[in-house]
Amino acid sequence: MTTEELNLVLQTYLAAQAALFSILDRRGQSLEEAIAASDAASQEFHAKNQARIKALEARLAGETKPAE
Amino acid sequence: MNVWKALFGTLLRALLLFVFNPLRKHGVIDQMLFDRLVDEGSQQILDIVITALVVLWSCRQKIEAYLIARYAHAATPTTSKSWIENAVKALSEWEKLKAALGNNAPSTIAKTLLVAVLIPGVIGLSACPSADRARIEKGSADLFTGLSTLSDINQAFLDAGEIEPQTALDNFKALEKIGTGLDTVRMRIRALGEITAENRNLIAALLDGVKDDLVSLQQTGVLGIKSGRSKQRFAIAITLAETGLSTLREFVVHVKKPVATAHLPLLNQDFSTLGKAAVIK
Repeated sequence: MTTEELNLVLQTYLAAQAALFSILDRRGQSLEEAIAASDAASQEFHAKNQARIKALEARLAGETKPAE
Repeated sequence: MNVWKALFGTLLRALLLFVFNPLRKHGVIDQMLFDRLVDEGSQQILDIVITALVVLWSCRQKIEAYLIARYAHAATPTTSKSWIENAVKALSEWEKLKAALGNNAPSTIAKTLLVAVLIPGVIGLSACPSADRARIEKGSADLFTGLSTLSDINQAFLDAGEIEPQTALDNFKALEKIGTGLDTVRMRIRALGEITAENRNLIAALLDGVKDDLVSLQQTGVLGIKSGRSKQRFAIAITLAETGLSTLREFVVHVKKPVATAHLPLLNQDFSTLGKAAVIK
């Protein structure tokens, strides 16, 4: 296994572990807490994902610009 | 038992420290995650192991008692009790299991495990209505956590050169579409006022829409991941998200008593702006 593959496996594992902790944290919540957690999870996902979209769009736009 | 638990917990903690400390030192994981992995991780593993040991020990005792009774029935009247007990104890654990369950031991064990996994799920789904709304909200939160994980994995694949930047962008956009779809479902559910036997199918249809988006992400080949193994890992993550959606859907279609949503404090919030305000640059 190469270092890159190992790194990928590790990152996947850590992402899964973080997801598990996040799910475990929601045990025994009241309705209001569950709603707040649901909104927070939505907000966190959109913020992270949209930031990645913007960054990647900017990168791709930079790569397609003609060299000056 | 507490002494053994403490001893085993210490050993487990030392093992986790040994595994994760180098990762922390090299900045792969931060201090907060490291603390959780070592503290909570060791506690969870310890709880699971202790429960499993108690259940296994109890099963072993019951199987031995059952075999002694069965052998005693088959033995001649002059056979002593101690002879039968020794004969049963002389069997290996696997032989005892096979003798107790018959020739289909592996299949019976698999079925028993399946039932053991299904029972808590069934009990959970038939919980009282006051917990129903919370269950849906928690399910939504879990799904967003799953989407977030997919986004993280997509980023990791991009960084590792496993996918082309344009494909990664398509994946991020597809995930965003699914997240927005899930937001719509959540808001529709909250706006309904209550979930009843009449409108539960409408909610199920909304959930199906989100699931279709998720399935199409995989089927249309948008993912574009180069290696088979990476593709498999992504597919597993998608399957997990799909399972979450299916569980949520199963719960909704089985709602019988009306579940009020009108009193929810966050009902009137404008969720379309959520996330946009927090986007970096």
